Amino acid sequence: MLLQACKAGDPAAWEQLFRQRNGQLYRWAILLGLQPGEAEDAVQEVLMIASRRIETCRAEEALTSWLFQITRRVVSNARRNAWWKRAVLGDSTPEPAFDHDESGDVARELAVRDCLAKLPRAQAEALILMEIEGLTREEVAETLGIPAGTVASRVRLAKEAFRTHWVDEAPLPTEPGLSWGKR
Amino acid sequence: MNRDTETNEASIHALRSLSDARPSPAAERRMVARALASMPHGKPARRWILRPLAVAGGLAAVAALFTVLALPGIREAPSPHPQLAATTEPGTGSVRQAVDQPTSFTVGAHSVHIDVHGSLRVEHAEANAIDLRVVQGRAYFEVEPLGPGQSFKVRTEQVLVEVVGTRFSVESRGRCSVVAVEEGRVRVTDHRGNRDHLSAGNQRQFCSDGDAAAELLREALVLVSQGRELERAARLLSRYRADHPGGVLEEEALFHLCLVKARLGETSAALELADEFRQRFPGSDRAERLGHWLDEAAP
Repeated sequence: MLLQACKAGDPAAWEQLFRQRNGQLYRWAILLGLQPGEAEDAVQEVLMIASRRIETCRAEEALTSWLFQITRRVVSNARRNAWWKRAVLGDSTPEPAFDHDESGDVARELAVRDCLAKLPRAQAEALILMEIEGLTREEVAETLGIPAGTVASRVRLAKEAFRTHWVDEAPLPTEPGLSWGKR
Repeated sequence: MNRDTETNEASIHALRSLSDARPSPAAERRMVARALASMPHGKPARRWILRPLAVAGGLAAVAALFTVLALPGIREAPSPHPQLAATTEPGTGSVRQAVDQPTSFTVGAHSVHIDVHGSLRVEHAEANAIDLRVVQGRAYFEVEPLGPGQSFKVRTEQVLVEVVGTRFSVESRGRCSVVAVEEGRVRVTDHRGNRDHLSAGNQRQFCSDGDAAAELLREALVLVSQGRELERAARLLSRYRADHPGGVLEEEALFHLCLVKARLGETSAALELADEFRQRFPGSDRAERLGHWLDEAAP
């Protein structure tokens, strides 16, 4: 229904779509390696591309994978365009990107993002879709345009690599106030 | 359960903990507003409509370009304030100041009037793109309707104003800027990228105070969460509290300052802060936790 309304050019439907999806798109952009400010720009670009090409989205059920495909292209472009910044300034210190209740969650978020950034892009994408977004293997395969068997092997390799990095990056027990005195 | 399995599960658990991670509400509002602002109005054009429109638009753009190129650019023009001293032509990078009396000048077809003690820098001045910065004081602008591809921008540290033919003023005073629209409509973008429109008769103040405070606290919390530079985190949190007593994030700052002091081994300071926290925020669940830790830490 929403997709049809958007295709018909209903502004209210577009607004609803933007509100529904911006958080998810932002999360993808962050997990694919952008900093918060860059991710916000990327979300805007994704939504703009979506509004121009909505006719090419075939069904409501395909909306998530269709948006992910746009997002990964936009993020790749953004990272490519910013290569000189990284070359000159080095990788900037990652900033917390999500809303958290506890400061320990911030540390965990940064550690997860750091570990994901160390994975090959293809493995990271498969891992994000399967473990964070909760897509099935078949859905991941369709989204990434690869066979289901390839998804399985990418996710397995990604988990192994992620776990190895996690050993180094995992934050200490989170509640800083629990230990009185200098650590 | 062996250690490998534990690590495996911990890492996957950490990954999945981000499955419902969201940006801050402010960031969400910003993204939606920006996307909506960038949307073409009404029904999206179909390709078969778009093509002739694009051709027509291209022709219009070419025509506009010729028109624009024919403009004399920045020129001396009849001042809207004839009693004021006539001015020389400002170029890109030049600064105009109204030292002891107001001054006026024109840029293309548009008029600019600077109030006494005001200062304005011409960031960019081409026939189709004018970009001015109000360094201090107030400046008034009378902007003629712009053609396709033309832009007229005025900025301060806090705000960017984009125009579509109007009369308005921008005042820069310290950490705040005030935009007032007399006629027409302008689009304003604050220094964090939030966009909005101001119509005739409206004015709005843009300040960087609150954001600077939030940045201060944010920087401190990042250090706390990473467990590094705790002395610096403590200084930032103390500074935040001193600069913004009773601020909306006071509870957050006080709670974390207490924890940081505890981690730095400054137990008596931490105990005092915890006591203060319990008195000031008795209803907070953090007060209970701090109370628990206080009891544990007490000799």
